[in-house]
Amino acid sequence: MLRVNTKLIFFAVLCSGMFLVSCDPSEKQGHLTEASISNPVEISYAKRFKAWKKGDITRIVVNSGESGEQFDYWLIPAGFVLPDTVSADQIIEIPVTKWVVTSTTHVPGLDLLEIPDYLVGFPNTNYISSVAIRSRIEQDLVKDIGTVNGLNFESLVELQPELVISYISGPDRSQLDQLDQSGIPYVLNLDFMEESPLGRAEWIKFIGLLSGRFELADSIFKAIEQDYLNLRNLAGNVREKPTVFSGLLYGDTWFAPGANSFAAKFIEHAGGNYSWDDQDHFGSVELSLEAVFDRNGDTEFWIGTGDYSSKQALAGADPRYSHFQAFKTDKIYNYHGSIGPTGGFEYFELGGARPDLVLADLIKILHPDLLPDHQLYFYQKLD
Amino acid sequence: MKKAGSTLLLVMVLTLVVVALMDILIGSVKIPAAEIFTILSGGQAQNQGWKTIILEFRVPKLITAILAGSGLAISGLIMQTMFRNPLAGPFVLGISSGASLGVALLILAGSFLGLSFSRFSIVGNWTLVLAAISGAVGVLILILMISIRVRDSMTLLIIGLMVGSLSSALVSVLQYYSEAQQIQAFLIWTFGNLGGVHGQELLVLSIAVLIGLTGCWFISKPLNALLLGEAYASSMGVNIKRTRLMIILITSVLAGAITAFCGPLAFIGIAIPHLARIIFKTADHRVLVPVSILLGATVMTLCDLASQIPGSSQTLPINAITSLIGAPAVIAILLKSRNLSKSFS
Repeated sequence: MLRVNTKLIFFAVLCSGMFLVSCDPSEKQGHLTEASISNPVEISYAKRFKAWKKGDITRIVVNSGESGEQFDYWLIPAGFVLPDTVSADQIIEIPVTKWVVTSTTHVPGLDLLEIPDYLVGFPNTNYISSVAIRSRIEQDLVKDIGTVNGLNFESLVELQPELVISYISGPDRSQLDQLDQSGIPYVLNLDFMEESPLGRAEWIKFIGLLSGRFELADSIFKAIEQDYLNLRNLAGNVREKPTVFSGLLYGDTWFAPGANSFAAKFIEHAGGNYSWDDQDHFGSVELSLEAVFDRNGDTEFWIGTGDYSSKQALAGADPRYSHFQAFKTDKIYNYHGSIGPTGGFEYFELGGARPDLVLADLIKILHPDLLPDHQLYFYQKLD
Repeated sequence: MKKAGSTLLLVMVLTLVVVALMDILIGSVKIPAAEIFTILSGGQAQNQGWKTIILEFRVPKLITAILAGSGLAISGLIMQTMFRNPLAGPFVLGISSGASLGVALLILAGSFLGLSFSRFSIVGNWTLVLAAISGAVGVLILILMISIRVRDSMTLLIIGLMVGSLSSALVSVLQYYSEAQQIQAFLIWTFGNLGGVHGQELLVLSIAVLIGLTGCWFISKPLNALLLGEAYASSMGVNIKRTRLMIILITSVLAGAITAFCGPLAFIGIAIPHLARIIFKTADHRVLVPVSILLGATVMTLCDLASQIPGSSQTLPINAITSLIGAPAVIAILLKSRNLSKSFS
């Protein structure tokens, strides 16, 4: 679908002579096609987006996987006009300097790329913990724009952001349709659908391309990757792999991360043995309490207890938790170690962008001797 | 007829016993029957974990299933009688809607007010129960006040439905402003659960259900008179206002307590009284009350058994089972039997 900004066309017609001078002949509008943008941007782990570059033009394709749906985004310098031969879902002028993002996982990208002052709006700002962005929220420079399920479009339009980062995919397109109507460019960030911790972290390159800071993004990712791989190697050599289970009861059903989930991968990479690695799911699996107790009654570590931040709270919610060995021997951990001033868990914000920190925490829990100097950051023991 | 009736009753008692035993014997985890009997008779099990599974998980869940099943069946029965409407059930007065609103306020309003659920969880399950009870009692007081002013049961029925819509609307608003995780927690509560009731909670639930069931036994006769119409019942010397008040109180105690501890359990309350009427071909509450108690307990226990998906480590929510198994069964029985409305006149 071609969406052409009419003002831009008008401007382009007026200045076409200027373009012929300023652009490389090979990049003349007429020659630009999907095929001609052929220099791939190196993406090693992320599976949900690909990017190609040619000169100042970047093409990003985001795919939502299951439905096979693809979204074609073209990033162009200000004033450039794409030829009719290109069919783009969104055409975005870069660098984007006025952002609205909709998930806390989009926040650290802006922080790490040193552009926190580009953020102008967020749904429910209380969830943001980043120090730099919190201070902007306090100065009213980042506006609250409703909730994720119900974006306040009037506030959003009033803000006039250059770009909205959404993560709504699947059959319910109402939010995206409304964005279409309001004429605000948007892109989908599907970092949460990635199947590997490094894949999720690599989405910093996506933010880097949009903000015109790709080189910085690339170098930051390389450092995180190196750090992560070193830690993984360190934990890969251990002889004893302690068994870990995870999850909570809701009603009569125990919800545990599936074998392909992030939680399970992190545990495995940290030199642990995830107890439910036979449950081949990316999301969570529903188990009966009996089955969990039968398998995990004597399991050493219980990592990940949802909203509960103390043993007392766990036992208060359901006394059956107290029968687990991990409960009796105080080996329960949760990601409540770092909570922002307005109650957001940093794990859900920075955790995705810094898998190296998450992995270091888990190694510290499972094999404290390997990282004697590391202090737990995201994780915390339940007392 | 009377003899056939008591034989049937005996068969039902035996069925309940068998189903209850199966519920203890069968679960996700395979435990040898001999071990289970050793554990139940106070002996030492080979595997300490099995003892926990039987005594801490399966037995309390069975007791809860029996209490919830019988209590809901009875409140459904007396609501159907009071309103002389086969579609009435324990929740027509808006009691479960009130309880849902209480729980929604607790779980969902947290994000509305900038609090997280974990701050409440210090007091844990009791907070949830108290929230549900407050919601149910709030609606109850409203309905009682209205029932004293309104003479007509139909008006009461419609007001109950309206109160239900009102609290559903408030729940929707709360959901709209909540995060996915909290919505999921609330949603799972609405699926119902039998396994979360223990110790003191189980004691409180047992007392509430016993009070409700005993109360119901005492109003069996006025209930029979009510079936013939309120005017007729008055002419028979039944104090309509007092009976109606009793019915509302009993339903509230039963449905309120069960919803508070187990969530809004679907289906049993509406379906079991119909089954009882069809099997015993009677509208006499002196028969229907004990039969509904037995049938409710048996069916709920069967549903619990099915929800465990024996041999698999996965489970299904109890509400899915009650309706999945129950609805087709009742449709089949209804099609086989003749006109149901006969039971109401």
